[in-house]
Amino acid sequence: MKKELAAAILLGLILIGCIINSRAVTLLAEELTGLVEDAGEDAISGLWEDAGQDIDDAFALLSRRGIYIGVFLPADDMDRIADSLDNLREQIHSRNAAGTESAVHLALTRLESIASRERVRIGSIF
Amino acid sequence: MIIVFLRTIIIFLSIIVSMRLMGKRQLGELEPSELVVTVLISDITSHPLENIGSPLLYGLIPIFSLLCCEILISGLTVKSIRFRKFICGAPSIIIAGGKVNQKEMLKNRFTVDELMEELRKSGVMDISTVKHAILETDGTLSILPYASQSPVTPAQMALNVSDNEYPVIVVSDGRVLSENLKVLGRDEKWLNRQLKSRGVSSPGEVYIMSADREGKIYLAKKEKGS
Repeated sequence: MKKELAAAILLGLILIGCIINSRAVTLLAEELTGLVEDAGEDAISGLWEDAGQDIDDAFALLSRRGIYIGVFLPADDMDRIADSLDNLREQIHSRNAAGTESAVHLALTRLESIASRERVRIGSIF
Repeated sequence: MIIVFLRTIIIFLSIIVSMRLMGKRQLGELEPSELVVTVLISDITSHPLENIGSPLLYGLIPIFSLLCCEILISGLTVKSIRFRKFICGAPSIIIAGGKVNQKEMLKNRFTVDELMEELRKSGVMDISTVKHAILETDGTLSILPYASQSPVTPAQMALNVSDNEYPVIVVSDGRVLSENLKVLGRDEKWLNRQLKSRGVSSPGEVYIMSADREGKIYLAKKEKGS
């Protein structure tokens, strides 16, 4: 029964790890979403410097969580998010209001797709 | 490229550990749950190996989750007869008292051709010589012939025969297996004496040597160049 007990414990640990990962992904997506939304609002208000700072903070956040992202998240998805943030930064630097708005929309859509992937719902399971 | 190599090694070791922990039965006849796990593991592991962008954990988590489920199910099947019957099914009596049970054949989707094939594999050419045949849960057919068709045993002939002792390998490809010598209650001195009496100067010249408790020895020297 020792083997079965060890298997049950390992299964429990895997489940706990998956729940923690789900929470961590959601948290990361929420933090990035907040920064992107702030950047969008600052850009609309004409505060281009602040908007640029928000995007730099978003990149800094991605860099800080680099190991976690590398181990737990698909590289393709994270590359797409980094690309969309890069695009947003370019639009902000060129002070293009319309381009910034569409770049914010794109980044938020991609962040939402990452967050929704780990959300436990009937639809996401099946 | 080095990443692919490392990922392959990690996945390979994980599968070896999984298979080892699942036990010996996994490598032989598969029960339904074991077959499912084996097929799933072989399929799941290919994805993280093919796609470097996919985290390795996406392959490791399913492997270890399946391993845990398999161990738990195996444990439960040992503990509970009802659960075992649910997971593994029950053996079916295909031939009872020399009569083919057609209902069981249909229930197991077992054709006449398959029945004859299984009988032939067991060395039975004539179905009329079979008294009972049981389809086991792993798909093999166990056969009991009529007593008149069964091989005669020494006990039936009232012969007094001694039981064979189990021979063990004591030298394998030049290496002395000390543990096996201990099983026989012998030591290396005894081994060297036996080798010397057979014209062999050292274990390094022996390809295979087996011995049993009765002192029966089989020895094959290494061929030159091997």
